[in-house]
Amino acid sequence: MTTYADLLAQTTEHVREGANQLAMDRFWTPHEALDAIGDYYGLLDAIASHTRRLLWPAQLGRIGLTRHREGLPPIERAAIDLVAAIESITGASRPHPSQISTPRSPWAHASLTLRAAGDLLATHYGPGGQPRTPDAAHATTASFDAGLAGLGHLTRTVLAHEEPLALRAIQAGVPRGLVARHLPGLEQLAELTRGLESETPRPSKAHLDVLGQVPPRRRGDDPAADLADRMIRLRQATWELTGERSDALASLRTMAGLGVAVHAHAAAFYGANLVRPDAAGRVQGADGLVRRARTWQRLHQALSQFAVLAPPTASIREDAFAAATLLGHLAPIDHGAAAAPLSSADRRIGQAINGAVQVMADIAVHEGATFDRLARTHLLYIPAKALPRELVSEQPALAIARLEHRVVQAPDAATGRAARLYTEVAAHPIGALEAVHAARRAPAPAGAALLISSGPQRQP
Amino acid sequence: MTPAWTHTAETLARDAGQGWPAIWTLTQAAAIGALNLAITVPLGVGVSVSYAAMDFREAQDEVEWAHPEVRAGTTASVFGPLRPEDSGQARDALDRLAALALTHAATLAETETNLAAQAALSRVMARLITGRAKLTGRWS
Repeated sequence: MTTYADLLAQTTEHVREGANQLAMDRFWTPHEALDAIGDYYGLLDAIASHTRRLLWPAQLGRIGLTRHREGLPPIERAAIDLVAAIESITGASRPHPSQISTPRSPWAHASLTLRAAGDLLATHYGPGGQPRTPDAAHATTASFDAGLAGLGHLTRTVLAHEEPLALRAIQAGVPRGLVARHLPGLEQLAELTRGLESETPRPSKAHLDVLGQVPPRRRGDDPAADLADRMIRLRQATWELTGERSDALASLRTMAGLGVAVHAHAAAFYGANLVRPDAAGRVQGADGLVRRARTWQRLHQALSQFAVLAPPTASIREDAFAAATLLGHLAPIDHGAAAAPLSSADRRIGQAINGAVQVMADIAVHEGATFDRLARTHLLYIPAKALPRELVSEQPALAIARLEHRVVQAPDAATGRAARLYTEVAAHPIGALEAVHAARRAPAPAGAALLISSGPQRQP
Repeated sequence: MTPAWTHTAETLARDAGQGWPAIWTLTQAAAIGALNLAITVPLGVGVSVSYAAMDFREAQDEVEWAHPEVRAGTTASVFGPLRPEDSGQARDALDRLAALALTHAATLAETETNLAAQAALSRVMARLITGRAKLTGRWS
């Protein structure tokens, strides 16, 4: 007899098969890749449907408990948020288009078995949620919470393959824009699943406290405006990290990577040749931007040596990677120098790029403060093996930790380098941009519009 | 030739062992190597190598969160200085490390029954796949 557990195991097996195919093989045609993306959407839709199945009997069982409490239990709130978020992406048409065709890919087979598991569950309950079988009568809200937690793991497993799927689709010849539209980065869904997996419910907040940032509006037709939006959101998010959060390190690392990208693409936009080795000795103009990108790279390297002991509960990854993608679209690395004057479209891109450079300096200020707080409160950890020998030899406690292969609180000597680099990248690069501006303005005809404002640029 | 990097990579690949510790050793080495490489090569290439380093480091995080004890069991890898003209060979060496880590993860995924560990493996594999693509530039 096929049980609920059997069907879930089959689902996991199909997802594993899909993952292995992505890892080992490529799509042969764009059509095959698009079919796989459609099936992937179908699986997400099946996850949403299954979440609903796990939710409704649990809600009925909790009515007595929750009637006099404010709001729903956190795990149910997270489940409802997840369902709403998935359905906003996959659409609400029923049956879902992926259900109509014969399943061919592992993703489609996974949806099929997951939907079957949901149907099996539904047969144990009546329309009002009352149990129809002895097994259902023994199930408690804890059982459904455990089911939701398991579904959270499955969802994160599936979401982990969005990026490889996008990569394989591009390899197969699907236009990048089309891939970006269908697989835009579903990191926010992964965030929501963490609420399902959490063993210790998060504290309930007052109504106003739960107001976060306005959800991103995707402005696919205006990448410059989209970049501006993303950068502003990132500045806000990094400012919030300066608070009491202890898991900020992963975000600091991600933003250091974006710092490299912003300055490299800005340098390319203003004519730097990034294929050659860096120009020695010059710190002005586009070469100043290259120098700044190099500083962000060293900061990225310095931050990467610290251990992130637990998964962060919030992530800026989605916006950071979307911004990096937009930069590649607006100012490709092989952009090459264009003769002034530039077109109005180029000027608009220039504004967005200038704004991104400026915002990165603001972000560096916030992140420098966050790093300083982490260092002062001893929340930075480093493998003792990674510490310099001379430092370890001076401190017996570190020497013992090194011998025992332990992770230790990072000593000042280890945090000092990153702190100094933050000071460096937090300096506003106005000088660098002004030099570019002067170089571009010189050959322009009288009265030509200025390419770059000489003052600090703010995003529109 | 880049004898130092190639030799280090070969030694790591040979001595990595099996299972989670092997994935960690190889992924950590790829992350450290990519961070070093990104600073050495011209910035036009260094940007995508930095992205690759981020992916490898995130894969390493995932392994450490699933099995914190792996940090203690394996020797940290050290890549020596790199001449710019050797960067192509160094990139190939790092790609082989990541490919081997991916193979270990895929093998482990065949037998891992714990759902949370399975999810962690999936995330590790996803990061390794994208990291390799960014490192080698083989997006198309």
